Amino acid sequence: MLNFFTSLIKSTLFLGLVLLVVSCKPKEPEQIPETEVTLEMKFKMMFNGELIDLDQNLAAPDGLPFQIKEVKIILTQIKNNDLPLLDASKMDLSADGNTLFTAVGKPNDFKNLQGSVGVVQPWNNADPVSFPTSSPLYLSNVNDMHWGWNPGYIFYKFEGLFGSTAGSSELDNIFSYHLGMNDYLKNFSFENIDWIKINDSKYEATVILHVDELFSGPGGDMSFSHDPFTHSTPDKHALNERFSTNFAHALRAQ
Amino acid sequence: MNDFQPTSPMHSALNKYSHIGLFPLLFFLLILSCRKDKASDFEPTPYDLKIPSHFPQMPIPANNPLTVEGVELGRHLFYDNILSRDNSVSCASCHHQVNGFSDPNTVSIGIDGLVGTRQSMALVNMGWQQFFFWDGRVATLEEQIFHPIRDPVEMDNTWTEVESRLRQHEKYPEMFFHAFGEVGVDSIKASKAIAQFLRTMISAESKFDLIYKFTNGIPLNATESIAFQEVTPEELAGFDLFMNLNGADCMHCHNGPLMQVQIFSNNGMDTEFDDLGRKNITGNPNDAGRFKVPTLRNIGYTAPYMHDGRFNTLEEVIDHYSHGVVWSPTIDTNMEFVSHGGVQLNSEEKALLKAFLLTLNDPNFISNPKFSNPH
Repeated sequence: MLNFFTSLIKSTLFLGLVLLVVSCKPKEPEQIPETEVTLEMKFKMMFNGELIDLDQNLAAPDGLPFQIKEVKIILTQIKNNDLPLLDASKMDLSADGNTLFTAVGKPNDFKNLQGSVGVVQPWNNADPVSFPTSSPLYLSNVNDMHWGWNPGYIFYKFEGLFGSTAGSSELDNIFSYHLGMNDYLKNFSFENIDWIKINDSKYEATVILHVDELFSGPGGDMSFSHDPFTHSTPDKHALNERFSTNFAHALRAQ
Repeated sequence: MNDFQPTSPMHSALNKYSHIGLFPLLFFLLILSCRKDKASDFEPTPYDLKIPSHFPQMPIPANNPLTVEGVELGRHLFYDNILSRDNSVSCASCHHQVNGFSDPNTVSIGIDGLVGTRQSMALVNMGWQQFFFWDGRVATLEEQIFHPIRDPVEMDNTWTEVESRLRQHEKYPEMFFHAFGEVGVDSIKASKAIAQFLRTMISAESKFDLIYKFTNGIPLNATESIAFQEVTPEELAGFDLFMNLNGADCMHCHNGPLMQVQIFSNNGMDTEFDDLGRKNITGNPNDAGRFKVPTLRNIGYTAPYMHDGRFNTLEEVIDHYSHGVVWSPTIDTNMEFVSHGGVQLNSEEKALLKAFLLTLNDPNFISNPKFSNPH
């Protein structure tokens, strides 16, 4: 009888040990498919590490309340590992157009994208009806992201309301940053893009605009109260340069 | 056991004539079915729509190509009171050609003298519009046409009744046949025909078109070059103000050859809204007080202005944007000067701006016989 219980205890301990070892085995990394799937790259915003939406109540670093009302961006000459991928893409957070691109391919073949934040020359000052009708740069498609042949396209819009009292929720001012002009064209490079499996036939990746980095980035600091507007005119050159540098830096793939 | 015997008249008939064989009968039916219907013998004439060189291509639905006969049918329907319940109102009742296909009334008056709530939008360059009505509740021109007929304060009719009247009409069945190459009158064809007519209503022969071409380096032909000499320094100065971000700052919402961007905007007219505009359609509180940005083409003909027709003159409109803009939580972020009440134009600047706005008038458009009443 004693032997029986001893064997039972030994067996239980052995089984427990086996289960422990099995449960501690590191999880296999998700297998990235080597077959072609649908790849979709989305555009989203983050503030202080959290995903945010338009019209959400936020507080700037100086404590002023604000809401982002509209964000639109045009990227051009988008390359995948230095090979042409797309002439242009227009992303719009206020509509269904928050997709940078959709393609069919292997996720590992789309790990690094490069291009321009804005519209490259000579396209920027070309006749907007000279592009193919399917192009985001075509006049009917670009809609309110075009000033005229000269100065050209609005590369990106970042607009909203802010309050003049820190800690208050009242919004009583407008901020509006319309960056364009050839001088403020910047480059982007999205590296080591992380493709997330949605289902067996679809993977998604995300381009994030880190809004907090617009206030403080490599271009310098800015605030809504000091610099609420720019339309890229020469009298706002310092702000234009600061904002466009911060914006391009704040735009990264996740 | 007896086999089952069919007893229906059809089975009896088949049995009775089974010695003849079904093959000749089927062959006869086949020949009949292959006979070309008389209706398809007629092919409507494709309409050669001239798109101005500085305009984008017009998106035309594949299922409603323009035809000469379809456009003509649409014009007849547009001007015909037969569409309204008591035969008193047509589309043209609220869209007068002399007024740039808008309505001089503050808000439109429909059947039985009923008063609507909004000003009639000017019908011009409709083929490029991406949504329709002040609140953008409709996405296609063909669908838009269905609404006024059913609206109780506009025509207050049913499409069933309209179809019935059109079928019994002395000329419309033939016009429908010629427009679509097949016999039959229905509401879908009626809306398609009116949409075809509206797509032909292109306005691109104003002084502004010359200014647009000139400033963008588009070559002017000989006639245009002569006409451009008549553009005054005041009009050009007004154009500069219009486009200047530190001037009148109009170009954010009124831009390009269509003189509009296709967005909804709260342009700072009210702190509270009697008419919620776009919010009535989306339910989104951020859309309260937002309305479709209209084109400024033919603006000199289309008074009164705004969705509720509150401004009778261009001077009043300019005064609003200059000094009368008020804050509300859904104000358009393009209204950057709201904290100052507007863009603060002085009287000289206002006069220059008005001079430019009048260059958007297209006299040929409001006198073009192709758009006039055919009845």
